[in-house]
Amino acid sequence: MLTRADLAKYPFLNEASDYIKELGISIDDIASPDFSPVLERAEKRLEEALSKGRVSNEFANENAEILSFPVSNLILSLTGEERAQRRFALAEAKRAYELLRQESPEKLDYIARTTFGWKLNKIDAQPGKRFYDFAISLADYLRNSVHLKEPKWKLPNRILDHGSVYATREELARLLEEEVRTRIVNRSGRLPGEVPKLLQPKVERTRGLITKWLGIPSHYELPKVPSPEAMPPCVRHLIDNLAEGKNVQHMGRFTLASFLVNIGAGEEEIVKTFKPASDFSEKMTRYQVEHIAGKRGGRTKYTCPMCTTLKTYGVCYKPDEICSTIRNPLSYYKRKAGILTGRGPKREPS
Amino acid sequence: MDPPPSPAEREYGFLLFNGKFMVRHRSFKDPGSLLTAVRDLVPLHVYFSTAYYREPTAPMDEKGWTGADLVFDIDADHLNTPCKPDHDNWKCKACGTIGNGGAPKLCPKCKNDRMEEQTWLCDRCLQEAKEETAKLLEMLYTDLGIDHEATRLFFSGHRGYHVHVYSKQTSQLGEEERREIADYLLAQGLDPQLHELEETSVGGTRVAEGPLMGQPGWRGRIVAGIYDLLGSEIDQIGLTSTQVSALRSWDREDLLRKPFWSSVKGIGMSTWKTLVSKAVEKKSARIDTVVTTDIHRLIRMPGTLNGHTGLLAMKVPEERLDEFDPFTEPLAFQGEMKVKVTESPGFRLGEERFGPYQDETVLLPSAAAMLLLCKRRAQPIA
Repeated sequence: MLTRADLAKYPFLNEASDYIKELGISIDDIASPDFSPVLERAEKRLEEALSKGRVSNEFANENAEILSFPVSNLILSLTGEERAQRRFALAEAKRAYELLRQESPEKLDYIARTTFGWKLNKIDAQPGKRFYDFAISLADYLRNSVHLKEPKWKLPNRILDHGSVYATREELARLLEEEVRTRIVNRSGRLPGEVPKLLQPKVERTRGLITKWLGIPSHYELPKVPSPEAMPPCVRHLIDNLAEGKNVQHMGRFTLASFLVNIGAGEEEIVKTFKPASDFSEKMTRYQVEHIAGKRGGRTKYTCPMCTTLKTYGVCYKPDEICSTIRNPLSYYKRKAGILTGRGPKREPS
Repeated sequence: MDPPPSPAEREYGFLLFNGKFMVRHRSFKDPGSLLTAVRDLVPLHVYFSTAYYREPTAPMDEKGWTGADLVFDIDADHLNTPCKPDHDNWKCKACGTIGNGGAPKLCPKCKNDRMEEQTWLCDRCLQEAKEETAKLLEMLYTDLGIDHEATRLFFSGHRGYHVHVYSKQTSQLGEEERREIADYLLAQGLDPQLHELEETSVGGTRVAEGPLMGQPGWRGRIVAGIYDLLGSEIDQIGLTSTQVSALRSWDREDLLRKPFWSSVKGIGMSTWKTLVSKAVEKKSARIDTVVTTDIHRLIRMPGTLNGHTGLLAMKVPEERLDEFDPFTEPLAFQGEMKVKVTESPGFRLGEERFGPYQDETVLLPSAAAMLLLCKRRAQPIA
């Protein structure tokens, strides 16, 4: 079913790993001069992913293309930089999508089935104007579609027929992109026992690239000092309501407390925020805040609810442009803080 | 008791008569030892986790979640039955405002959200819950492809029904995925345009087009819902009288043929959209989303008494849902009891009608007395 050219296009496939095994190549062979095209391509993959968020499809040497993918992954794993691993996974997944959307339904069906274990059927259905090539099992559809925000991916907007979701070829490719991304993220971080010395300079160079394109790690993380300007509209609205002595419902209170706990606000500060509430009880508030911070009860530090949940409970308030790019108020804070300090992740290098 | 599959991998919880706290994080090797524990504790409510764990007795974040049943709860609390003002009432815990019917989300006076509710169970509410359950089951089978064999239906012992799906295909679904399923059943966020309801131009004339009867999923269901509306409450959904008479004079059987969207004179796109949204409302199953999306939920053990009523939470064979009488079959107590009733609406148990009562001492069949005691409408008399 798959040719070597296919493995070069989709080096994350099981067949690609098998192919490398059959070649009898191990990580120690990297030192050999024959391998310089592989190393070169591996570094190019990383540089492209980190700088542009894309990996090109143009390549000359199929073997180098297949072999360079695990090498890129290994180098990245050795840097220990998770954010770079995520960016690389996304870039590789986008590359795969561009190629997948041009494939025949038969090949898409094969890849989904064998590498990702999907249950799906090739169909030939035109219930309305659109033509559907696939019926994907509900679980496989949901696992990937929940990451996608466009309304067309919401289950109530799909045709769901006896446990299968209808999808076009293009849509299947998009869902596979998600699956590819998850697979690459899960794969990175797995390290072999011995790492050839030759790779060490490559790892250092990649660290440099990460700093260049993604900024210094500590700046990417949440700012040390809570920065009120970076708070999302919903959280500011909650604080304003409390300050004005208006009643804030349970979900709103939980959102505010868990948000503040997670951005590193001090317990005193958080308790103070709740003080203007008409039914304020210091003892109760302190207890609840400690609970949310994981200092009591189940010892779980609670994270802030997702935006979808906040919409359901009517806590979401006047979402702005940044809101349309995030799924959790904490991500908003991270992003806005980055923009405000000018030290955040650089999206589009000038 | 009617314990779930894989009983040893679950967490159990008990609410006791005297305690305010749940005894939980318990586990039992087999149904026998569970039964022994129930006999020892004599709890008011018995629950088990819908989740499976490697270590059910460990603290929450160390339990090792391995999957969870897909569960649905249909409860009169979430239904808007017209009888609620007759038998339910609420009181704001902050300012003491009271009202009849289901509690509002916010107190109309002080905007507080903490309410004390007194509810009652009546034929009408439970009949609606039954209808919602039937819609739910239909969607589970024809749309979600859930296996009949994996599905169990239970009367909750109070104001609704529970549906449990014990299946490998759904046990691994996460919270967000289950939320999508809940949204699907409620048609939450359904955009008719994405089901190809749109206006196009054919030879210069504007023509409405949309889904057709018999198409899978929400598409066919939208049309079926419009068909139902045209046969019943079409005059009660906010359309003008001209629109209503236009729709009434049109043969609704045309919905079964295609295409029909442009065939009613005077009915344009915006009216069709209104009809679609009403059709969707009519056809959706009003489940409690919180229960379905919570993958660590404790849920009532079938075959135990519900401490809110003294009625048996029991399995209902699906083919018997229609004829199932929640006021006869779940009765558990024999004999008679004398109680002092403070206040109670009228109700039926079995073939007998009781009440309404107001500050009176009555001798009642035990099941009726227990219901009043459990609902805190009466005190026992020694």
